[in-house]
Parts: sequence; structure tokens; C-alpha cells
Amino acid sequence: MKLDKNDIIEKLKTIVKPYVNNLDNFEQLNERTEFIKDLDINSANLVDIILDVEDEFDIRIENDDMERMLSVGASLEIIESKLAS
Amino acid sequence: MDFVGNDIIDWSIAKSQHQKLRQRCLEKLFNTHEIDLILKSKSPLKSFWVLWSIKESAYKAWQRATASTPVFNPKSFEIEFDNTPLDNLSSNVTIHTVNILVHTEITKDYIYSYTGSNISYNKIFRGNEYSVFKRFLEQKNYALVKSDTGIPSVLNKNNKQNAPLSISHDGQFVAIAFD
Repeated sequence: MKLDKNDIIEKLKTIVKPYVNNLDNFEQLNERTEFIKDLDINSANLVDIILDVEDEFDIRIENDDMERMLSVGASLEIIESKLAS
Repeated sequence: MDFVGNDIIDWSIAKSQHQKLRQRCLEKLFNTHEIDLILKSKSPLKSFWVLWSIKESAYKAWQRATASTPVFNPKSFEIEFDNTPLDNLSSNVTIHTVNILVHTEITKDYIYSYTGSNISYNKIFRGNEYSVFKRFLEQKNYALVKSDTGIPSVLNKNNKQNAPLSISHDGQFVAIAFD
């Protein structure tokens, strides 16, 4: 299954939504949106999001990539590179 | 270095998060020694949150002290306990050869970790007591301010001096610690 950027972002939105505390910013989500700073996601839920992403896209995210998975854009980049490999 | 960081966990919410004990989750956050401690303890889920709050406190303090951009690297913060864990315990967190002392208070309602040494004011508020705290600040002519990178501090409007401050909120609790 080939996923384009928008497919990935839509799936990512579904994954993060349960943890979001700022729904206004969630409605305006774009690549620059940051999980903690803009969506007010509890840092304790970042690992839950990362595990959900691994399951949804059937990929494995290592520590180096996990370190920077703090925004929609960074997540998109990591997911795309894992899907391509 | 001036380390000011804290993290509070509302146990009434945290105690239902059993998914945190999945092996894949533990391996992303903790080293083998820490995982062992968690799984062998009387209450693994409670221990999970104790160790998490210790790392989070140290991370907030280190991020402030080094003015670094946010990263998500819990495994880089390694915990050693000074004593056998009881209700109030102390631990040493090592990050890139830097050591940070952290104290943890465990009650039936919350788990609260905060960095040692540099904190003179340390309080936990429930519900709307937090607004009482804000009025207290106003009376003293202090203000809560945030830097461009989102790091909070207390501004003493009398002498224009900034003191580092750490705020943590979870569920019904807000915890404030400053120097």
C-alpha cells in the first residue's frame, strides 16, 4: 500500500487525537505543529504515540529518530523514510 | 549548574495506564537495570511512574540549565537510587556525565519528584488552590513569565530579577518549585 503525505498526516492525526489537550490547535494542525508545545500533549504520552505509529505503519523507530519526534513534520519525515526502506 | 525541575503524577489517573508496562514501552524509556527494578517491585505500575517522574524532573532541569532545544531522550537519563526505595526516596540521575539529584515523594494520591539543592519554594496545589497561589504572587509583586522557548520563571517586579521555576500539572494537581 503506497501512502502519500496526506494519507500519513491523516493517520497521524487519528493517532494523536486521544492525547490532545488543545483541540483548537489540533483543528489547525500542519507540519509545523508541535505535539507538546502546540497540542498540549502530556510528555508521558509521547511514547504511546510513537508505539501507535510503529503499529499503524508497521515500522520500528529507533532512539535517534525518537529523540526528534516532537512535531508533525518530524514525524512525517521519519515515517516516510522508514516506509521507503 | 542551577537545576530546577519537577514532575507530578496524579495516581488516580496513572494507576489505570497498564499499557505502560508493555515490554516495547519499557524498552523505549528505560535501560535494563531500570526495567528490572520496575518489574521486580511490589507495584510495577507505581514504580514505572516513580522512575518516569524522576527522569522528567531531571530532563526539565537539564533543558533549562543547558538552554537546549527540546528532545525526547528518556533513555539518556540514567537513574541510580541512593537508598532502598521507601515512601520518600532520593536518586541520582546521570545525563551526559552531569549528575542531578532528585527527591521523590509518594503518597496515596500522587507521585511527586523534584530536583534537590536549588529549590526554596516547593508546593503542590489541588483544584483551584492554584489561583490562590497566583494571587499570592501578585501580592508580592511577582509574575509568572515564559521565555520564547517556553521555559517559565518567576519575575520579581521589585528588582526585575528572574528566578527559575518549574511547573508541573497532572489531573487535579499543580506543583510549583522555584529557587
